[in-house]
Amino acid sequence: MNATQIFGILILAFAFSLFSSGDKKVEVGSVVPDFALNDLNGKVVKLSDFKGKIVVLEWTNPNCPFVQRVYKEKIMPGVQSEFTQKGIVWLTINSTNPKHRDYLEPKELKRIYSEWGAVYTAYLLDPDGKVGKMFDAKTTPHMFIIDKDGKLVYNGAIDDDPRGEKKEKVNYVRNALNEILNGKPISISITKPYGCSVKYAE
Amino acid sequence: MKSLVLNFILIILLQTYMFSQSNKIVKVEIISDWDGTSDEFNLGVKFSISPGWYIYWRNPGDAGLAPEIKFETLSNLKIGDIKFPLPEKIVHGDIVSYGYYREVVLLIPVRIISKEKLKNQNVVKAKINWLVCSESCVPENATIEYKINKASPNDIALMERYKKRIPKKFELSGLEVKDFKVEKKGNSNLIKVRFAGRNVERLVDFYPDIVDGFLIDYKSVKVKNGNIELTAMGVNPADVMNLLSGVIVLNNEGYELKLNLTKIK
Repeated sequence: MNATQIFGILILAFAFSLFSSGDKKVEVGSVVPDFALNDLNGKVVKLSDFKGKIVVLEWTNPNCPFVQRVYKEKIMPGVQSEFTQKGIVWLTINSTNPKHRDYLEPKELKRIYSEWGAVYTAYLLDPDGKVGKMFDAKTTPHMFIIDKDGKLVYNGAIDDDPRGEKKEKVNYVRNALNEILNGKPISISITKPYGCSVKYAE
Repeated sequence: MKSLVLNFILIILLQTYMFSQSNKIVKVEIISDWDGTSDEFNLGVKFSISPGWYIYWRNPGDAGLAPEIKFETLSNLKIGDIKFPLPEKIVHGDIVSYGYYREVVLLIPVRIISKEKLKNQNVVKAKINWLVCSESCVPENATIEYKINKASPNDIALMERYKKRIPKKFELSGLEVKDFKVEKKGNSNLIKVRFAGRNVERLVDFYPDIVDGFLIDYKSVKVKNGNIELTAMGVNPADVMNLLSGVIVLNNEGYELKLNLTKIK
């Protein structure tokens, strides 16, 4: 092993320690570190698989009434469908810990989201919550957008209607994605997410 | 025969109402502390919450949703804003919420505009919705009618108990703000407030309000030796926080704090 290899290993170890400590969270404007999770078929999916693409991360839990509403009212599938057709990567992530009563097996998750008309690139499982905690994902839903350069450019809610009663909603994710696709800066990059808490292991 | 049919319909309606209430995790009812003569009193929305479940404060924290009460407008009454008693801090790992287990009465101040009209129009109708959570969350709602009459001693005593838990004015806390500062740390604002006064040793916690344009990191709230420290991020990352609002907790009592952070202390 030469000096360059040793240096490389040290750098990787340092980067890992930064994001495994639980203290350092990904902030808007910072480069998102790579992560790897299993999808519903057991296949490993890495963020770096989508290098150079715009990536949306959606935290979810099908037992949460806020998630149920945004799917049943077609708010989430509408944005998913619109933007995956435009080449945007959509990663739906479930950080529910296996001991929680909201935890569902992959087969059941596949059935529910298929019935709801979900259109994701991959549905990823984060049972130990490491990736959720890295992003400080707090609610379901909680949305993040990563730009082509791998930087986090949006962190927050799907829209401005936590109670689900507004006729005219501002869909923050749709607006941000349209701005990115039109080469404009994102006008609203941070909002307060709403929903149920992510069911992390305590 | 006509009255028999009417009675039958009423029984069915009553049973439907009771069944819909009994299936819920939270039962709600409206009470009041009206003495039968005063022009001002409080309505109370009493939430009886199944063991292990909780509903949320005016600021739910990281997750959840505050209860919502919408009264049908009545021309003979002026209905004020909801007053929330001091909640509990509910912590699950990194996620902090504020809410109530078991029971809470939310208070709504009422002023009678016309006592004459009240004789003929004395029923208030409220649409109430809330989110109740334990491990999972369930949204619930109810529409309740309440006939305004002189309150029973039990209801007055219950209302009194919850009135005592409404956060009081800061001036009554026995504290004063000694100094404060806002430091920018990357995208975040680090806010430090130092208190002085005879009750400074009793200061145990701070429950922040939602501040427009900023996201408070609730788990960052630290209260020690008369100091409050917390971080908040601007919706525009460059923004500097200019207002801190919430409830300071001295033992088991709350006091409203509204601090203009642009004023030089």
